[in-house]
Amino acid sequence: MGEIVLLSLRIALVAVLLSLPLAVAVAWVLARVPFRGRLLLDVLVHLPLVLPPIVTGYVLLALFGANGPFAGLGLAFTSTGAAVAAAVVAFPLLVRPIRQAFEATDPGLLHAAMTLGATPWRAFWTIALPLATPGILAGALLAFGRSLGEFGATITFVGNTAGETRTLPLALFSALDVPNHESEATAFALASAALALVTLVLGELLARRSRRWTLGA
Amino acid sequence: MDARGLTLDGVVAARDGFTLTADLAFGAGTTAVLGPSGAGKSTLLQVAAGFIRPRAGRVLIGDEVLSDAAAGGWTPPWRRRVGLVFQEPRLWPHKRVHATIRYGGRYREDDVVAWCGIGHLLQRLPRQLSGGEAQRVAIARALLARPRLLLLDEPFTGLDPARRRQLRTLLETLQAELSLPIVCVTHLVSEALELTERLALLDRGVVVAHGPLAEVLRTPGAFGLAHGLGLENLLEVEVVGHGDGTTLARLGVHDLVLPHTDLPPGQRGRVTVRPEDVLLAAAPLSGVSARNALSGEVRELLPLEDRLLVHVDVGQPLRVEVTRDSALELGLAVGRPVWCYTKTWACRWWD
Repeated sequence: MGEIVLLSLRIALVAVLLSLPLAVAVAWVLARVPFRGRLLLDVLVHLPLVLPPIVTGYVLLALFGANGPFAGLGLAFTSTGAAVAAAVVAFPLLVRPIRQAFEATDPGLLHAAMTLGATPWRAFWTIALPLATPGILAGALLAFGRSLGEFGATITFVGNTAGETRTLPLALFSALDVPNHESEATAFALASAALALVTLVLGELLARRSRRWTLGA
Repeated sequence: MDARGLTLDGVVAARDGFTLTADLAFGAGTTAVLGPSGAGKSTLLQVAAGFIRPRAGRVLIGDEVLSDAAAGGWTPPWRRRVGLVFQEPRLWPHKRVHATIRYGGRYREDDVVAWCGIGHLLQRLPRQLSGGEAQRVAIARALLARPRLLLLDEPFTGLDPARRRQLRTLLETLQAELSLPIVCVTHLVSEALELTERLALLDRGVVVAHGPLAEVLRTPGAFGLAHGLGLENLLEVEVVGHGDGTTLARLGVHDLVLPHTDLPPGQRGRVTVRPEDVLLAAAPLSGVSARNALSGEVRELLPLEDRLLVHVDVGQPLRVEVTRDSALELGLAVGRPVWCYTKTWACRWWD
């Protein structure tokens, strides 16, 4: 049980850390960079939100599986692969709050920095990014929570190997298959619920604290 | 061409369907850019700061070309060293004052902090500052980056008289200590005159006139525009004492009865009077209720669309509006002595 919880937490954490830099970049582009094809990017980012996770898993398998073009990365059926599956499915939830935070920041604050000699790059790192902290935290925790609960894409892409890819939802699924393991299944379900709850409460507390810090609310 | 100031050489700049055309040299010292809202004042600042790239013409500071549409030359905002103080202070909510002001550099930090009077605010966050304090922090932030030119966008908006006086003193200090060219945008003549007699009058994207106020007003069409922007006389007086609901003050040899002010006797302050609120007489009047009589000499007669603007020297320039008929009847001419009368309540304290 403890091992499964730790594996779940590890995979979710790796998923968030893996996708965070890309999510910040994509959120910035969607919020502040006008270009042709922005709608396409927007749709692409949101796709995993509405696509059945099993389809996402299948696409990942087609790309990274034994016969896929990226088979060499060796992601299929590994815990890193599980993190990738969780990252893809949680990506829209990660991007959205960050993008909203960027959109809510007055561009004039960046202009002010530039009149003081700051390049757009420095203005981004010193002004835009710190001010988006509440959004980044909110997105990260939401994505973390979603990653903990990821099932469909994971089981399709990396299977259900104990100690490697068997996270809480997968363990629950396995327990349901074995007769007379209802109490075990219930324990997994309760653990999942508890983790989700803690994540959300933690997220709300952090968001409040950082909002007070950045906006003085 | 001036060695230091901003020059817009045949600049045409467009933004959101609005076009600004400007061809003028601001030079050193302080220039006020004056115009109604939508005249293109902010666009002009954005062009100078480098946030709008002109379609035609050149932008220079001194003899350094910042933007040349024909040759394709372009210096981005972060390499211009043009300080811009926005109408809203645009302080960063997450940075304390000390980190804020040092963001662009630490040029004469102790002096700037002292001039701006923000020494006691260094540990504060922007949300802990009043409007006037935030503005002084924004000015300090611009100065520490060692700008070659300072642009101010409506700096007096929302400030009470005491804060306005403070800001004026600060800008005068900057002129004296740094000899920094300043371009200040405003939509009120009185605010412009607060700082400088040198104006650039803007209307619908075109520079209607520029130069000293008197010269600007002589330009056809300029007076009507200036009048709409609250053209007023600004007279400096010395408080003598306080009467019953009034304050007694002196302007040169003249005694004035003015609305009450809290300024103590001996203190100097300024009073505004509208040109249409002054009565002009060819001889001293008796038996009138107007309490303030200022004798002076006609210096200049400006014919305007439907009236005459008379510049009377009463020790300070006083501009008076009269109809053409009354000018004829009074026999107004340059050099003629006249008497100017105002009611107490037509005068308002500026400070």
